[in-house]
Amino acid sequence: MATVVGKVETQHENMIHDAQMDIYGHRLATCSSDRSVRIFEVDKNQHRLIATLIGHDGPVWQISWMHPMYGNALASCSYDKRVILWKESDRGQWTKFYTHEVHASSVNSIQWAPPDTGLYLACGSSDGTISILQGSGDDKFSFLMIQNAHTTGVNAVSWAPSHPSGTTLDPSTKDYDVISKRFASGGGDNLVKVWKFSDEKNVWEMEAELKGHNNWVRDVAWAPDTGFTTSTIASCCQDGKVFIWQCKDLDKANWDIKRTMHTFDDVVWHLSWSVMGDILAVSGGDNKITLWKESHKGAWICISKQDTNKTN
Amino acid sequence: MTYNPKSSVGVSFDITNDKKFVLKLTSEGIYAHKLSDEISQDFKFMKHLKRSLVDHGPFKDTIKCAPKNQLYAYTDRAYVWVGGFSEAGFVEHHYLDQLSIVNSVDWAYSEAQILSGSQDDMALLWDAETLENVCRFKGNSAASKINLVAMSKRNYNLFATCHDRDIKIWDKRGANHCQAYSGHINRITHLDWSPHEDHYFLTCSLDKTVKLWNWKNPKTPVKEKRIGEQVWRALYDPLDSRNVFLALIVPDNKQNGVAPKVCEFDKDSTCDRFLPSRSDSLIREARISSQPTGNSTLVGLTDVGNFKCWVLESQSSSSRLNLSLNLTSPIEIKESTSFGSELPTLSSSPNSCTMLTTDVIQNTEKFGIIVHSFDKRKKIFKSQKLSVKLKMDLTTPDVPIFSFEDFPLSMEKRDSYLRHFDGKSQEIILESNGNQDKLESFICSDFKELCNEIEEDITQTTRRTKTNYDKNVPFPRISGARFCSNNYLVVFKRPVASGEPGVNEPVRQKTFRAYHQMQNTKISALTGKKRDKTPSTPSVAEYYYLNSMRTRQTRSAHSEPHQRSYILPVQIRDISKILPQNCQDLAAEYCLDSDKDLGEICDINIEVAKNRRRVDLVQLWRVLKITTDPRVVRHLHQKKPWDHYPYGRKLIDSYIEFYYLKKDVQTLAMIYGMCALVEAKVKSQLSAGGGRFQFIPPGNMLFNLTDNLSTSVSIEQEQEFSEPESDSTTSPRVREDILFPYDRSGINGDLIKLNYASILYSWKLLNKRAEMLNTLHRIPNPQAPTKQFEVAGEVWECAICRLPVTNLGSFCVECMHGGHYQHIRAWFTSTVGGRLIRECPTGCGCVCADFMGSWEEVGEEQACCKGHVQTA
Repeated sequence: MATVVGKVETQHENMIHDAQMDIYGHRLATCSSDRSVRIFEVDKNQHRLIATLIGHDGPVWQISWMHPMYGNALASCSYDKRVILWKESDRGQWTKFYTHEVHASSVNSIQWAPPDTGLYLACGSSDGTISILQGSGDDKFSFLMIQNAHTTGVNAVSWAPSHPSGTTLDPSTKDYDVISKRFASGGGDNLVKVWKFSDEKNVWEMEAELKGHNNWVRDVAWAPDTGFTTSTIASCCQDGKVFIWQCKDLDKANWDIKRTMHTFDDVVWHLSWSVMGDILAVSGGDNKITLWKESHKGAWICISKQDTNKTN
Repeated sequence: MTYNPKSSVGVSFDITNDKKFVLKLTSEGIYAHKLSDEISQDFKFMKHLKRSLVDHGPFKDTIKCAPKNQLYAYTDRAYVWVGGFSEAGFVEHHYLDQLSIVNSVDWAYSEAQILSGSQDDMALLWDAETLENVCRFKGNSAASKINLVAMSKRNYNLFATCHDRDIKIWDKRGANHCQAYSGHINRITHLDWSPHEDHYFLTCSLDKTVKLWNWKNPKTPVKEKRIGEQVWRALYDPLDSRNVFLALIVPDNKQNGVAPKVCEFDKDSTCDRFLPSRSDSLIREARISSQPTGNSTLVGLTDVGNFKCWVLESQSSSSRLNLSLNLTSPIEIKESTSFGSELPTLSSSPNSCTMLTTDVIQNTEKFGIIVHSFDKRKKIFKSQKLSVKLKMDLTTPDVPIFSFEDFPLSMEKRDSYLRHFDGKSQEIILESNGNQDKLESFICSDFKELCNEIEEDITQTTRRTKTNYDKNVPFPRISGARFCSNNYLVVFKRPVASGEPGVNEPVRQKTFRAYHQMQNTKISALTGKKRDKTPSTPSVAEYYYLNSMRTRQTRSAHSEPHQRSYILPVQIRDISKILPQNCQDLAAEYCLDSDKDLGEICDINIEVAKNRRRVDLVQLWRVLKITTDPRVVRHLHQKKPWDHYPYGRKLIDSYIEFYYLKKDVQTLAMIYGMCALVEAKVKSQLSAGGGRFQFIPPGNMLFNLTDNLSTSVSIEQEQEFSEPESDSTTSPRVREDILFPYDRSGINGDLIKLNYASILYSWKLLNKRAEMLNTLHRIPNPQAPTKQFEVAGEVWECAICRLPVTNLGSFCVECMHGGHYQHIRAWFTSTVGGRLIRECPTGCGCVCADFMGSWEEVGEEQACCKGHVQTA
């Protein structure tokens, strides 16, 4: 079902922690424990290394491409408490143009907000705080911190789509704020929290707290726009459970566990939604990658199994 | 250079606190010399009472003057003697008992305490007033001996001991050393703490290097500098943090004397300056002190027993940063063996001394002290300036004014500190009775001490919290999959050990731990070190340390193939078969152009679908074409639009539901888009001229200048950045849900369009995206984007509507005028008097050259006509 289109030999010297393609699908960025981020240009079956970005002092955990509307940039976060933003200059050289060093511990997860929400970067760190960088167009950033977001460290952040599904349907109303600035975070206190930006107070406030996990929440993923009126968040946990949460009305923030998608044998590390929001890719400690889809009756079925231990 | 033990020259000296005297310790006793600009005088020397001093050998600080009082301490290998010294002479001395041979002494900076280091690796801390032993610091090995002890000048609780080649850093308050590490390859000759920055110190050694260390990161020196010769002493310039003085040892074969070097440690510059020296003698010892006049004095003791004194002039400007060194030639101060020797006259000194302007007033007017503070909010250390202002009037000295500049403490804390400072300064003012020196000394010593206390307190609290976070760092993920917008799934996996495929590869987390432990034992076998404990859950830091060790091993030991792990390549999988078909080619050819006639649009799309052999889509578009039938529209106001096609709406409904289940965003978006276009047409036909619409239907003249030009244009086709429509009271309210199933069955059509629009962005089909966004029903709040980021610098304004262009725009390469794509396009496709407009809308006269008249074949970022370039 899923044919391998390309294999990129990354030449990393140590384990790879994240790999992501940009919006256009031409570039691939990978980050690893060897403290470097590598960018490849991928075109059908060929790939070539464009740049190796060195600037971190510790293993790099995650990378996130900035939307090209704001420029050609990449953010990376690492164990050395830093978030570095890299930019491509005209001649194809990548340099760092901003270093964000406000955390007291390893920064575990970063993500850029969807372009319509604005130029925001959420960074979650093991010191329990989340910092949200806000950029104006000219390479200057200001930031706000959420203190004590999770008591034992923040493991994952994920932005909500810009135009949330759960808003009023009456097209004749004019005064509504369609752009929602929300994101979800998962942490070591077994909670998933939803944060909202309040314009009047200029702070990020916790809107909802989703309880249900028994162990560290390793990843959260907010499903993209489906056109449907419910918002969906998927979260995975150290003990192998993946929960799907739904909320019919975001402003009321009545999140429920829709269901337990599956209980895996091993720790689940990463969740990723497809563009239309229907397929969820789950990957975990058992080195397997599985794709899940919701059937009509609401159960989640696995639609593909990837080969696990082959070294091809 | 060999050291002649038999000579009676001095072995060590130190400069007293008031910087006027130099005390020299020789085998016969202690000499005191006066350090002044012009002349030197001998003072009586004192013969040692009990026994004559045995030569200790070089590199030891055997006499040290206390930093505050006129006390001194020296060692004669067996005992440590403490005494007082003043202009009247030596006052008294006591001794402190020591168990073994004492090599070095040093005074503490905050309290009256003496630290002595001895041959059996013990450092003892004595109270100078009661002469009792306060604390013993014992090292681990009895074999190493302490050669040098040095108290830190800034962090009053730290001291360092040098053991031949190693350095140990101790905290005075605790009994165990904080750090122990090896410093140099050969014997360490001197260690000097930095008077400017905390936690930094210099060491120099016989291995010809000078190293700058931060004791908190002991593994590697911060900076290392190769000197050509063996270095005897390395001293910080107390006034200028950049300069470091080095006293060098020269091998015997060199004839000329080598004077101390000044090198700038920050830059790796080779512009080290040699201080001028004229005689052949070599400097064996050196001390540096700062004068109240704002200069530094370097005093060197030559091997013939002379003192050489260098005065480093400042440029007499008040701020420290403007200091530059003006090195004068040394003034030799000759030692005399008896009283009343002839005083060296001015003529014998090589240069006449220049008078140094004393800028005491200026110096004390604003005194900046660097205080390190911890920002709790941001959790970083910051160096802040604490400024002290003194009034200039010396006759009635005012209370110094303390103020914090950019101090990140809370208001209450700030106030409490200020009160404390004020209180202390009041006392000092009273005591000093207008004595400027005393005031200054207060500022220099007590104030700094207080700031150090503040910093210590803060550090204490943070040290506890800082190290806790490591255990919160989760074990990192090493395999994963990410969806990327173009139907790709990027997969990366854990490295496997090649050579043993699949056998040793950890499958589960639990076995991964076992694997990790196995690796631990393997590592220990390689290095030969024993691991005391195997961690049950490897912490992240440990894991990475081990991992990096492992890779280091593999690089060096090539004969261990089974250790190498093979990093799997990142796989990119095409999963378009799983996801619903978002056909890129189809998207490129679809049309939703609002300028065309609606029927035409449908025809085009039918053709496109036919070419792709999508029969289902052909059918769909045929149905949609029906909706454009004027008969449908005509009956709208009678609320019976579907009379001619009674199943029409339900059919469309079911199409939508079907494609929604299939998650075919493309088709869904097309359906909604088409519906929106039809609605727009309907609205325009229903309402009576004037008023404002959400969509200006195609074919209508945009530039009816008599109408509300800017407003009507700005609403249209600005996509999400236009103003919301106001009440159109003139047009009758159309109930859209009669005509089209908008927002029925819970599906929000706008969101689907936005979703599809972002997919189109990723395919770089920006024009199509613009068309699609054109058909949005609800224009999002326009305030939001412009509030989010201020577009700094140049704002590109649309020539037509004067609003900033942030999305699709078009401009002329000649005159650089332009604006929103739709506006410019409408400008150039509109006719005035039967003729197409070809001039630039700003009125600059620029004519669109080679205008083909067609705006259709526009690929993104290509020229549509020669004069215009599309931008995104």
